[in-house]
Amino acid sequence: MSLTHLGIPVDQNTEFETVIGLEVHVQLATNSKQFSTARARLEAGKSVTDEAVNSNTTPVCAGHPGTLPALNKTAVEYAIRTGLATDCKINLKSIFARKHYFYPDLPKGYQISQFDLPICEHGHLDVELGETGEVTKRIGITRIHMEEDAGKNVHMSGFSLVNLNRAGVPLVEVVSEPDMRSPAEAGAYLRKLYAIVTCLGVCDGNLQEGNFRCDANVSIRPKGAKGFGTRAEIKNVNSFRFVEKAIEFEVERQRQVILSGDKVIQETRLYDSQKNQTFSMRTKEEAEDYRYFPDPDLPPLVISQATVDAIKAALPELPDQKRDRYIKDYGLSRYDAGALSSTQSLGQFFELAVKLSGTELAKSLANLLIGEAARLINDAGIEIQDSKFEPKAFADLVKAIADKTISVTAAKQIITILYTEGGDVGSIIDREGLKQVSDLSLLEPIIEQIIAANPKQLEDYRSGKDKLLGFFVGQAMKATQGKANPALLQELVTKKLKG
Amino acid sequence: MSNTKTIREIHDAFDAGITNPLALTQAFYSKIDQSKHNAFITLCKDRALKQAEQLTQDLKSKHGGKVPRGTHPLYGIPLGIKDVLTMDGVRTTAASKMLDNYISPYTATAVQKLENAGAISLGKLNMDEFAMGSSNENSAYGNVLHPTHPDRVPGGSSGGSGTAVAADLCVAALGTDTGGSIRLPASFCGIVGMKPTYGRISRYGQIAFASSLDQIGPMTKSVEDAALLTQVMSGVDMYDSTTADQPVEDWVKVVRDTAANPSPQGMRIGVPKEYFIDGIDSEVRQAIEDTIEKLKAQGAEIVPVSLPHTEYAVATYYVVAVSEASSNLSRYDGVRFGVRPKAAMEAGSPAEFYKKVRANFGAEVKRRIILGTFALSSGYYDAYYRKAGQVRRLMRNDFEAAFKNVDVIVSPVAPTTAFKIGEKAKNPLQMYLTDIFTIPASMAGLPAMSVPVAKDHQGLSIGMHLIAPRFKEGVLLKAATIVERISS
Amino acid sequence: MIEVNEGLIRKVAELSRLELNEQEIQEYVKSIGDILKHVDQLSQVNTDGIEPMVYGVDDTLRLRPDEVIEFGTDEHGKPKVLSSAPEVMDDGYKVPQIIG
Repeated sequence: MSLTHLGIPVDQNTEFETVIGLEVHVQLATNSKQFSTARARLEAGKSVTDEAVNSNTTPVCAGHPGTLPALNKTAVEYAIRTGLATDCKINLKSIFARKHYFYPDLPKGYQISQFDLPICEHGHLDVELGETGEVTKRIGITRIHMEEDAGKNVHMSGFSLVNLNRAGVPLVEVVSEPDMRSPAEAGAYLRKLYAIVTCLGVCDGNLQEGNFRCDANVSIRPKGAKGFGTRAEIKNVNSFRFVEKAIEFEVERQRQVILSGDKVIQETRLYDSQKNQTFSMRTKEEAEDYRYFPDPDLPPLVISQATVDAIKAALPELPDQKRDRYIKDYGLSRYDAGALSSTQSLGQFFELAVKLSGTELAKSLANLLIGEAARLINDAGIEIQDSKFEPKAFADLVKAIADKTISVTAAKQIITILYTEGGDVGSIIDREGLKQVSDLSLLEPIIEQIIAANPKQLEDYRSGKDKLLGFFVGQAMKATQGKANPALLQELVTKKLKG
Repeated sequence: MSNTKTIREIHDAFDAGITNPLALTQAFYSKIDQSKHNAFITLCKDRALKQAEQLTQDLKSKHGGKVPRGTHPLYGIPLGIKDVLTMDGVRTTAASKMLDNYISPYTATAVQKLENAGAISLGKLNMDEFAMGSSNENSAYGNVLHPTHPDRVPGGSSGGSGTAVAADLCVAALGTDTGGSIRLPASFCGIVGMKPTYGRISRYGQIAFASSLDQIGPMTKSVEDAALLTQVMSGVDMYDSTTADQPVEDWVKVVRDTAANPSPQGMRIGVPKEYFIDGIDSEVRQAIEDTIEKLKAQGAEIVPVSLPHTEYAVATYYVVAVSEASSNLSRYDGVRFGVRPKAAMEAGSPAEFYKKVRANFGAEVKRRIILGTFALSSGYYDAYYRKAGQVRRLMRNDFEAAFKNVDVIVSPVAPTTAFKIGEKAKNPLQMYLTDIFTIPASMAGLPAMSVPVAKDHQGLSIGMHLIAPRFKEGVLLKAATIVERISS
Repeated sequence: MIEVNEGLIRKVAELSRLELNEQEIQEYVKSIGDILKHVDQLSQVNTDGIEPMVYGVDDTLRLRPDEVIEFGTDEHGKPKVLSSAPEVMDDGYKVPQIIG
């Protein structure tokens, strides 16, 4: 018995290609909601769970009889910014439509969205792939449309409680072309889009609070096939890593389905990050018929070219532009420059620190920020400006490394201290005794002592086992409790061994 | 108080100390209590009497006994409010069981503007459920009786408003008009009804039936009162994106200036041949033709015009209106407001929950939801919703062509006078055809009025329908004033 | 054109979340059939190239300044929008688990 997929014979050895399209819901960082005057945005540092239930609602976003929508001006501007930053065509006329379905978190029984004529279309963004980000791939953006968020149902035992604080929060939905071919490409696309919307200031970028949520359309096909396989939509994943893992799982699941002779069915699936698997959402009782039609309460949105031009002129430097500037001005590698420009806050921090340290130490700064500092911050899920890190401390650190006051190892240790308690770098070096030893009168006797204590190794070294240099340097470093200036130590040990 | 008192006459009586807002309000309540018309669904006596007391006190203490007409043109005037308009803290049902217990948390912009101008809201007037009907037989709170002929309907959907004004249960009332819901009951009840241009008056707080057609308007005892109420309610509202940025004129002055010299000299009046068809009651036809003759005799230029798509009006309307209605009524899901029957709590599926809740809708409302859902559903959208929108555009083009040659268009409001209760209730299509003359102006968004011109042999009122170009309320009111004068 | 039968009425009623009994279905088959027959005369109208009229106004959308106007609480400090809710618990709208 032979199996086929898209008319092509398949078996265990068939190489499949993954096809991914992403729909990202970006919550816009406006003060009020899309169509109502209710508060839309959390106060800094607050969580949705801190908000009193249903406190940020008006009769409009609660869908009371007689209420009407009135579109938020800033939301329109933010949507246009997003479109311009992704090279979209801005439609000077766009239309709002009603999308109907019944669900308790959808107050009006319809969501106001855009259907036939969205505000932005036909854009793209470039993502960097590979270890060092040297390969660039262009991912198409089909459309960006404006819509309103739904509320939230909190499930209790035997009943649910509906909270409409989120209902009506402005969203743009960024719909990509099915241009991605691997989970890594999907991850790179999401990170780039995230970098853009946070850099534009249109999104607060808090992933935990659902500011940036992703639905992934995933299908597979035998490599070389022209058509698309049936796709599954994985809903509402709000971490980049989980999107990659969910797609990985889904691709393998679909491969197994096909190889077992079954058909992949078009369905909505959810990702369980604990179990690392996707599972089918409860089956729909009937096929959805959203009955889209133009919302008669909202005449066409017409924007002048002058408005678009003004918004364009006021766009901040975008991540790609910033990356190129870092390469040019500071001589950073493409990878380092890309990492520093990936979030608004990290780039800002870097630039402030560079001002204090001087451009010649930019590379060293980049290394510390991307390495140790970024790891601590990412693990905590916070932004660098919300940490105890100060640009001045990092400038002091790279200066201390440069003038050989401390070693890079010591610098990493200091970063950990700065992360937990902040403080002045000089005082920490003193307090922790991290100053590098470069004093010959201190180092030479130690080295001599070690050589004297290891005659066998000395003999082997002198008979050609060069590798033993490391042994002696290591012993000497240990004897100085790691404080010896490593370059100087190596030089001295070599000299002494050669006798 | 005589039942012909207009706002101006009442203000004169306040000035003269003959009556005051409190006494007037109490007098209306005692009439309402005795009335058998079933015109009101909810009275807000405490709220109204408190307001009336304050206004009465202020009249003496703050205004030296003289009505502050400049700042408060509706000072102490008791009004009835159609129960499709929200008032903070007052039950608002839209005559539906669905909203039997609904206390709105906010006030409609139009009502707020009237109250800011000094008006007193007596209560909420009966109507067809969600404003869907032409006879007021579709109310969950029972029929409204015709003001003078209790075996007949007052017209709909603003039937409570029509009867309440005609039977003098309030000075004036607010109605809403989607396809004729102000003009038809005004004609049947023998009062003045005005539907301003779509976009004139904010719909914020008007429970939606068909959003692209719905418009609030006054139902009054005189054209001048209609002008005054419209003037107070008009203007841009931040909460309604479809309110038009058009200047609000002093229409009361237009009416008074015209009344001082009510001549139609130089006025070009269009008479559409498509509105004088077989099937019009002969007395209705005669009354309208007589009025046209009088206008001509006094110097108006009568111009035959053609509105060729009139025959498609009802078909077009019943696709557009029900499509929008099916969407607007999606919000009645028993989650955030409204009546949730016990059966819903025992539902075994989400669909069943919603169905048990939505069983609160009456038969006509359900019919229209089904029709509208059908017209918007996949596979039928182009043939129904989209097609109707195109014909609607053609209907509007007809009017624009006609208004190149005329200032106003006149016609009967309806083919007949008030019909008997139950006469058309069994045949929805026949009922829909009652609105054949009022629908086209609604479809085109035009301002239109009904002015009583005669009575038939049974004493039933006949109204003349006047239609003007968009935002030409001044022209409309001028013509209406002349018609009012030559008919009295 | 379109044939209105029980199946169609049932399907559309389901989409509208309306429960109809047998008698209602029969009544709607007839009355909606009559109405759609009347509506079918629209197919006689030549509408080639005609842009549908979907809005009541010709104006374009007016935009609202991005300012928060809170709706506030009632005399018990509860969000005022909850005042007419069928069932409230901990300031949430309570619904049976089946639909949430």
